[in-house]
Amino acid sequence: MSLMTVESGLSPWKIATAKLKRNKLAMFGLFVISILVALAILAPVITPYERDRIDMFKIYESPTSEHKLGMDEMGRDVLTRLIYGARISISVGIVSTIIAVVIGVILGAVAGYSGSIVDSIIMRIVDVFMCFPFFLIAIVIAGILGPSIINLMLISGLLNWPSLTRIVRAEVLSLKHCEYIEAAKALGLNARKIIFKHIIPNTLAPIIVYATLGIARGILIEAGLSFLGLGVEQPVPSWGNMLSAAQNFTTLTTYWWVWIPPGFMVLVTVLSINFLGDGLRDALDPKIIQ
Amino acid sequence: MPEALLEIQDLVTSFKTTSGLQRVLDGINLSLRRGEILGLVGESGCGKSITSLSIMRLLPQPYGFIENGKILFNDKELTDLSIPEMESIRGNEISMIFQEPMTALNPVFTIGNQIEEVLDIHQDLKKRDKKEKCIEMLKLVGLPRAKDVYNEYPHQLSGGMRQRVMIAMALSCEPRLLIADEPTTALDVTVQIQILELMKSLQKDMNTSILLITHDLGVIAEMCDRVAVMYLGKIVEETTTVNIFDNPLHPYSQGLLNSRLGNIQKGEKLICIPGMVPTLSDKPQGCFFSPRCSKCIDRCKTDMPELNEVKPGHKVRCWLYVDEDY
Repeated sequence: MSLMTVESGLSPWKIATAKLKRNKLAMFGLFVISILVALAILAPVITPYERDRIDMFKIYESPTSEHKLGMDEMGRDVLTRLIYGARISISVGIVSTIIAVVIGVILGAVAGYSGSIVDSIIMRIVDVFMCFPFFLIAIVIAGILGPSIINLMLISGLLNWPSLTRIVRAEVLSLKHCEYIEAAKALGLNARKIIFKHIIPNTLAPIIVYATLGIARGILIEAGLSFLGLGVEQPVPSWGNMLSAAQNFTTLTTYWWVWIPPGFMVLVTVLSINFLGDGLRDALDPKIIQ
Repeated sequence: MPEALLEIQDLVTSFKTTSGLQRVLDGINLSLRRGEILGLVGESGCGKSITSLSIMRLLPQPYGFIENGKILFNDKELTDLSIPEMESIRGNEISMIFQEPMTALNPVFTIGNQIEEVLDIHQDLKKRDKKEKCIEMLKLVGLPRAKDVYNEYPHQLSGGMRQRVMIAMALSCEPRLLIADEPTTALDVTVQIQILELMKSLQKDMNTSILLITHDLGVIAEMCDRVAVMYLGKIVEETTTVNIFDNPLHPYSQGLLNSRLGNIQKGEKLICIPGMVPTLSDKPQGCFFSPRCSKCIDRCKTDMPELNEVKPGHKVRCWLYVDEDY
């Protein structure tokens, strides 16, 4: 109760920020993600070598003081490629999530608000999308479109919106009978304004949580497809295609520095994002008081 | 006599239900003059709120629809207007105040933001003028810290303050007609009086007409020029406020007035109208009120009486006053 009295004068966002700051795991996640994003942006400045520079004499060289994470199968510096890989992995995660959120939120809000036939049509499309075994269809589309970063973003975005549509639609269904929506109608707002200005802002909490976790999902999809050779192509490094070195048995058993670092980065990033996402969910849900 | 601002003619509003069409409003005739406050009273479920929603064309979709009749507002036929035309009237020429101030404001936006939104749609104001107008409206409805309230969220205000904000919002475009659907039901008695007085004084200043929906006869006495009493989707009596209190004609109006607490002493039994409001699917034969009426005659059980003007300005729907100069 003391929480409520102390914070009752603040806006809902300030209350959520205060709650989030108290969540240690979420703050740790946010910290790690911030560092990763900074690394990705500053990659050309901080990396010791050029991304694609090949040193034929140092193929599979183990970590030294010169090359802290060693060299890969073509004699390229693993640490440098790992930092550049963050750019690709994180941007695939973010862009694919933006695509999924835009489609998911608009369709969900329209379905929930308009009801009747429009709702049925949209939700049946969602059902169809949800029937596909996700990874299988992603591999098929990637195979048809060919491997590229843009295709990877599109595949991940276009396959990820249906669950968000369901979440948003459910929220809208409960919101649309609120008195303030009635009041907004009585004040002369049209359907578009009501959806965008009154309904969507009230569903932001679950959308933000979904989007955060969606970025983690995007990174995993990138890693998965690139590992299979259907995502980012060499020489551009991504954590996924760096991991694919582990497909070679000799590499897997002998040259651990080639595949453990990217695997570890995927793990740490996804874990951090999930920590942050969980923290956001707790912070944004007014029903949870820690 | 000033001309009518709102003229409802033979309005029939129906709901599609699993047991077929149900007439919620059954031939409503009502007229509201400019600058007049008209009260609409009746028990729960008699169609008061549906009347207001019909005027606003905001009947619950997809079940409710206007089956028949005309709603003339300022010589415009509201039932014929397209959705965008209707949207430009709502909040601008006809505004509405709701019963529950606690939930009628969007929790995620500041008060200023929400009032400005109305101004945005209906008026073309610059950003600074908008803020000024907004704070002016908040002052007008008697909020002491208008400038602070502008930046505050709904949860920071009390019920009475929120209802004031709702009134500010509804009146910000100076509507000609304000529909108040039980505006004080959810408020404390002391706050009720303040809100009613505020509405009355603003009504005088702006020369707005008010359609006041309530089941509180005290509110009617306080506010209204004329009153229409509704029962089961029909108007049973329509007259001036003075007449309804001094000389109610319809047995239902008499029953409502007798049921007031003021009429009894401590220890006495409360007076009430016997029976219950029948459901819409189970409307009685003849006069809808006949099964509960103490003065019911044979004719009541077979025929529905018309709304007759028995005295100038006093209409009543009852067989007792037909063919007879009482």
